[in-house]
Amino acid sequence: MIGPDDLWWVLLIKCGVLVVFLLTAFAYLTLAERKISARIQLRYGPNRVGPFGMLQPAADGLKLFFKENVAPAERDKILYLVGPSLAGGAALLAYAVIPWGTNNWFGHVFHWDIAHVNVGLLFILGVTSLGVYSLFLGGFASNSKYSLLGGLRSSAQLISYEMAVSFALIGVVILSGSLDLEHIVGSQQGLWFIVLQPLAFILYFTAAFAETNRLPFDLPEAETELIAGYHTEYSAMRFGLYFLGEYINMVTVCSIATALFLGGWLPLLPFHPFDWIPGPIWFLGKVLVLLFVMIWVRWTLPRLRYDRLMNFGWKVLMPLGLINIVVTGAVVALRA
Amino acid sequence: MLIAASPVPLTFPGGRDLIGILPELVLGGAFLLLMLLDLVIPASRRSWLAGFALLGIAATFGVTIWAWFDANPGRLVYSGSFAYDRFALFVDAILLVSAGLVVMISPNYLNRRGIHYGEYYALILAATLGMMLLAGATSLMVIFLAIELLSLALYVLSGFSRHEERSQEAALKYLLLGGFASGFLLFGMALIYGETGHTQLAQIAAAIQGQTTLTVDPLLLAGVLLLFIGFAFKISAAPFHSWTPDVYQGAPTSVTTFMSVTTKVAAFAALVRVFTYTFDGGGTHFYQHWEPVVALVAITSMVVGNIAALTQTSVKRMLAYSGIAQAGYILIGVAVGPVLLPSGQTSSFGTIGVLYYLAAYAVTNIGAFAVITIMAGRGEDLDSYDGLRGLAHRRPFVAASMALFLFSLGGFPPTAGFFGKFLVFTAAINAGQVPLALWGIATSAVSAFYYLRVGLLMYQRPAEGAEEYRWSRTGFSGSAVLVATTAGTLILGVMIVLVYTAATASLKGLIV
Amino acid sequence: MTVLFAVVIALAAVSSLGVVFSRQTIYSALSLVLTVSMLAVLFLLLNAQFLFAVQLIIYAGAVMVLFVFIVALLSPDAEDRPALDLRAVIGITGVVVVTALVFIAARNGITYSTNGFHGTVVGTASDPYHTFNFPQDAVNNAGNVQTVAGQLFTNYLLPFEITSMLLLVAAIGAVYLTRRSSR
Repeated sequence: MIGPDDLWWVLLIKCGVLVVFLLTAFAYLTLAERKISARIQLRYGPNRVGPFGMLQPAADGLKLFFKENVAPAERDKILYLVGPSLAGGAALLAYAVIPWGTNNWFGHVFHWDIAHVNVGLLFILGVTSLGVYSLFLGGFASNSKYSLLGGLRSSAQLISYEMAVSFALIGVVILSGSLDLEHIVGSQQGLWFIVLQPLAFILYFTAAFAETNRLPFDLPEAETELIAGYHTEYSAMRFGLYFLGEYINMVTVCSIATALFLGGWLPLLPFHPFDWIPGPIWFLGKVLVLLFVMIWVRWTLPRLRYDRLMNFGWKVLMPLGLINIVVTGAVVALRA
Repeated sequence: MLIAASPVPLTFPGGRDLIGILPELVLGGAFLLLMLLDLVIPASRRSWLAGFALLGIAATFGVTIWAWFDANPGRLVYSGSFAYDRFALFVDAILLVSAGLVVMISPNYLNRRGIHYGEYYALILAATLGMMLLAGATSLMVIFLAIELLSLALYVLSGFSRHEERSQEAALKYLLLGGFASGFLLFGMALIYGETGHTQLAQIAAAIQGQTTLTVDPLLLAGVLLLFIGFAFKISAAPFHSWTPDVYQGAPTSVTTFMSVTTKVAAFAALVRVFTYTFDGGGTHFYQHWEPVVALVAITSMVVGNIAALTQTSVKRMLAYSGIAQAGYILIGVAVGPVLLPSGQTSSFGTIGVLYYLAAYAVTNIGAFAVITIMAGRGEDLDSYDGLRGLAHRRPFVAASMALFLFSLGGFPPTAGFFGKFLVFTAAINAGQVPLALWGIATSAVSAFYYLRVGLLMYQRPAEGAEEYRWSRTGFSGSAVLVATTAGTLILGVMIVLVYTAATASLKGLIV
Repeated sequence: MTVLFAVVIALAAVSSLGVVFSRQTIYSALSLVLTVSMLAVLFLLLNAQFLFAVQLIIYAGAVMVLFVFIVALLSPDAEDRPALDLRAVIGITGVVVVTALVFIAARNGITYSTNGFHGTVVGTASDPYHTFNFPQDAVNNAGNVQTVAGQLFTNYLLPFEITSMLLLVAAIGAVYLTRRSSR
């Protein structure tokens, strides 16, 4: 049976909506970041462009577009461009399988996602693991010491923390018995997985900071030692693409955390008036809460030293993840 | 719920399957325990680890003996991936004895070289585990994984003296060429799988039944030959032998002792199971397609190995080339295949020859390398011919046993090596492959020259004014190993019945 | 679908040539990334979503990242050789010919006999690709991951467990060989 999801124009509209949404999210996340950081530091933050500085992102965007593209003469000409393009591309691609909910309209099931892959979770892991190339290539192609160090750090850090992420997610997969994100959300009906898998949630969310290169794990760019690391030598819109990728990645990891641990589009409590609010709104709300936490953490915690970061990933997060898997598996096996 | 949805019915492995891999389980358990023990045992007491490894090997040996009586008749376990049969257990026994002997000579040698770490024993056990799995493997997947398991452990072991350039070079060479060989192996397996649709040997054998002498699937044949090339690398048969001398020379001698014997034993076991008993094609004479290639490789190995060994001046390299030649002799037993007698029955004389030769080669070669290991001086290997000069005057018993091992390698009666050669040559003549036997006899005659040369060296007085080589003390475990291998060489050379009967019984039990 | 196949296969082939002919090591490594990614896409087109994801995560996302990492760390100079010389041309021709032969032989099941070459059909009309027990619809109904898991933990349990042993040995070896100082 052909549902509305299979029509090409529906798909096209979905893609358009998603891109517009993510770009808007990117723009206003930068504003939110500045506003919240200002509040945390007892400042006002941007408030000149538009009411409450609401047009600030537009001004920033214009600035990025019209600035001069300065690039090192000794760069690797191809790879220098591949880096930023990948950063934006991988971040957008991963979002294709995030489920925002389902609706039953006129006897047709309508999915609020672009592609329904039955190994959605693995798809996301796969695509985000490609994201490391953007950082790395940027750092390598710039032909600058700081950039190269940033690039090297990023590959080491991302690989290490990907382990932690995967291990944290396995607990959820064991409980729901599926890698299909929609199925995982569905199996949280009644009890969100954050209740059953608190350790996995903490592990995932901690590692997510490293995956998105945010404080306290922003070693690849650490401005005080590496002068912005892998994107030291990027300016104007090429830098803008890195910037974009980073913020969209934030949205992605928060969306995954929402879908896996916070019940996705499910309402807070399964009765009226909560379920009058449509699923996608719930999803958005939960993502926003997590985004706020990410920003909050960035402006409150100091940066880890590099060796401590690696130690933390391999010697703390990974063993905890293993323990979580063993315990979850044992409990599930015993209850079966 | 999820399982019920599977498109094909699933069979869950049970207790009978576990019993089928019991020896491997015991050894694997010993391997894991050993790693844990290494954490708590202080550095000065590392010899205890050798003791524990020996204990694990002995326990596994005991289980293997028990299984020999239990596995009658044998059976396939784990959905046809592994054979619990007397053939595998016979090979397991050879492997375990070899591993045990190597572990016994290791602590002293490693201490002298300053590389006595617990990982050594763990890796030896892991490699042995891989070899035992290879001996019983009846699925292409298990064969590949077992080969990789033993190879990985051996790559690391050959680089075990990691601050020494020669050892590192050996590890790297072995790794690169071994990886290359694995590529051949995998490519062959892929083609065989693609053409027959199965990874289980039993089903492949059934699929090959469709082939006849006249028509053959070229891709299947290509797969079979590529598979053979992969094996030929592992048994270091010429022209796939180029890594052997460098790796054998560069690796720590105790490791060379281990891998020169056990890798060949395990790989030949798999070769017999896969080629002689799976790719024979039953009544369809499929083996006639690959037989000439195997015979060619056998002849090349015998010629190249023996000729090259003539010019060596390092004992380790000489033994490496001798190993290449020995691989050629053993390959004769594979090349003649299961011979169809006029009476309509198949004769497995060649395969019995392979098994006998392997047992003989194991005790002899371990003995020969053990002498080099035991006598090695502090911090350096006893490598050059000059090092052996005059050994007989200072250590008459060691020199005598070394001479015996060299005789055996050369195939003189009444040693183990004689009957090994005798059996494979007879099998070749029985199968009507007289040229193969003639090549073998001719090259054996050549080999006598360099074996005797080393033997004579030991009985010469050192040259006047030459610095005398400082041999190490033999030690209790070293003497025990020498006594055991000497006894083994003589027993296999005199009482042929013992091993011959066991080999025949193990072949009767062979299942694919 | 066929067009997509062709594009992916062409990309995989071109990028694998890039692995061999790039004069800079980093380009070789990155070409290999592209090759393994394209293989992953091929898996996806063949309806093996699980293999697709695993190929992407493990090869493109982990193994090759380490390759690239090492290349950048050591930053070797570009090789001083022409991109194409006679040997390369011969090599390419050989590879193309062998691939074509293998492909034709596999597709038509050509067998030789004493009276020349003749073709026999491999597989059956309903199952031309030798999928045997795993027809596409059945696998999709049961779920890709579930089918793989079901096979892995029953029929292929032994190879699976040996693999874990293999990885353990590899880890021990790597740790031993790279440990900084002797104890």
